[in-house]
Amino acid sequence: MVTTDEKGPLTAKKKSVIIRSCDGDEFLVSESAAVLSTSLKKILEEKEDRLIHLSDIDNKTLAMVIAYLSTHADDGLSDDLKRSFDQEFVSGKEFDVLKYLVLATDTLQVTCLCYTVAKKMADIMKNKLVEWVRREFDIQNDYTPEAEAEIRRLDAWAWDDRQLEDD
Amino acid sequence: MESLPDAIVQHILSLMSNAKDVASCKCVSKRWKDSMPYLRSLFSPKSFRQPYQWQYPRCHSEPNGASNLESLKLWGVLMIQSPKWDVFHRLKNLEIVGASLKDYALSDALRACPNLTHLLLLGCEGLMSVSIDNPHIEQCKLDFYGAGNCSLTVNSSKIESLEVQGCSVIRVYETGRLKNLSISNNSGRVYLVDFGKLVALETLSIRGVQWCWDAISKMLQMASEVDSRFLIPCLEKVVITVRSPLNAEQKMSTLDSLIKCAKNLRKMTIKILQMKSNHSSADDFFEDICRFRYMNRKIVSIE
Repeated sequence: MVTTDEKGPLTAKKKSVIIRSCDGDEFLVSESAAVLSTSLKKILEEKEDRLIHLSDIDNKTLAMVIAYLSTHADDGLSDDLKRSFDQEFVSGKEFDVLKYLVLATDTLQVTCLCYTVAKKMADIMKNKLVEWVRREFDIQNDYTPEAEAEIRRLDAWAWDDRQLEDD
Repeated sequence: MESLPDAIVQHILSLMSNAKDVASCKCVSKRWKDSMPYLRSLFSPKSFRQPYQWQYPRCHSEPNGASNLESLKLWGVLMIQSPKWDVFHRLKNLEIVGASLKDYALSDALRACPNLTHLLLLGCEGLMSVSIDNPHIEQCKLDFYGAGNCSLTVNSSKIESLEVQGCSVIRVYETGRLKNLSISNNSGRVYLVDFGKLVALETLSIRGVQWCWDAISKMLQMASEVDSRFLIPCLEKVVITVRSPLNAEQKMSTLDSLIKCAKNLRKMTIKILQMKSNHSSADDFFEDICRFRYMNRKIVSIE
């Protein structure tokens, strides 16, 4: 399957590259969009090949990143529009989806998107129970109950009069 | 999905802005606790409880503590003891709002931030004498509660903007870059202002219930020395109360300066209240004032 970005026919004349996800699907992306990712830029500078295989990014995540890159490579859009696109882009996404996104943008070195996603994650984590954070980040609690109680005691101010959420 | 790499976790944690959330994330795991030194900005909400007020910054002065901190905002803290801070080399912006402070606690806190460029102290009380010696300070806004009798000294050659409320004695020696100066005192009196040459001054605002003659005339002189075009464009009406004939000459020169600088002044009322007439100089002074009124009779009236 070959998926084009929305400007497909218009940019056909321009150079484009094919990016393959770990699921095997291929995405046609204009070079101007691809080079917004520092990693892809480096790969394109180093080799002639127009096919880039990303072994650790799945279909769904890659499609989102490419939508972002194509929007930001569009010279016809104002910076304000791009900024509101960024906000729209992260809003309403599941925490799990954001986790895959932040990992992908880190791998691809798309600094702006990585920041936007990480900021969104930090915002979601506001007023969340420690148990929620452990579950969402899939982290084993390696404190002994005594050690955890001690840490909570030291920062007692942080637990006073605060309603923490678990969803 | 496997858990995210440390670097990404640190990146996310560094974007949290509430100290309480950061503190609860320390409980997630040992690895997360060790990620905390990478925090960029701390924000302490107003609901800080007193016995714990320094708990958070203190946690961060563990080895490699919050040395990356660039901005620290403390709201509603009780700062009567010196904070146990390491040096925050990267800290540029310090804001303390609605705090109760002691002089030595503030000076120790300022000493821990050698590269500070922005300082904001809003609604702070308990200070008597403040000396700001951070050499990189550019913007400084100070607003003190209380009797308005605090004494302030600023020693920074980079100071560009200074706004002070609630100080009676203000000394700023290195003023080569000072563009914006605002001095007011809502509750106390401004006794003394001592500034270097105000060569870069663009705006000057002086407000307050009571200014000492000496201070106000010095202020006007300093500003007009710098720029002979110095004007007070908005002042239309001024009421001046004179209570004693002491320093008559200075008072007359201040009245003169006011007339000269305030081009749009339409009405100046001089109230002479409870003047002790047994003093021999009172008559002379009164004569001076009458002459002054005669010279500027369109504007000046005496009550």
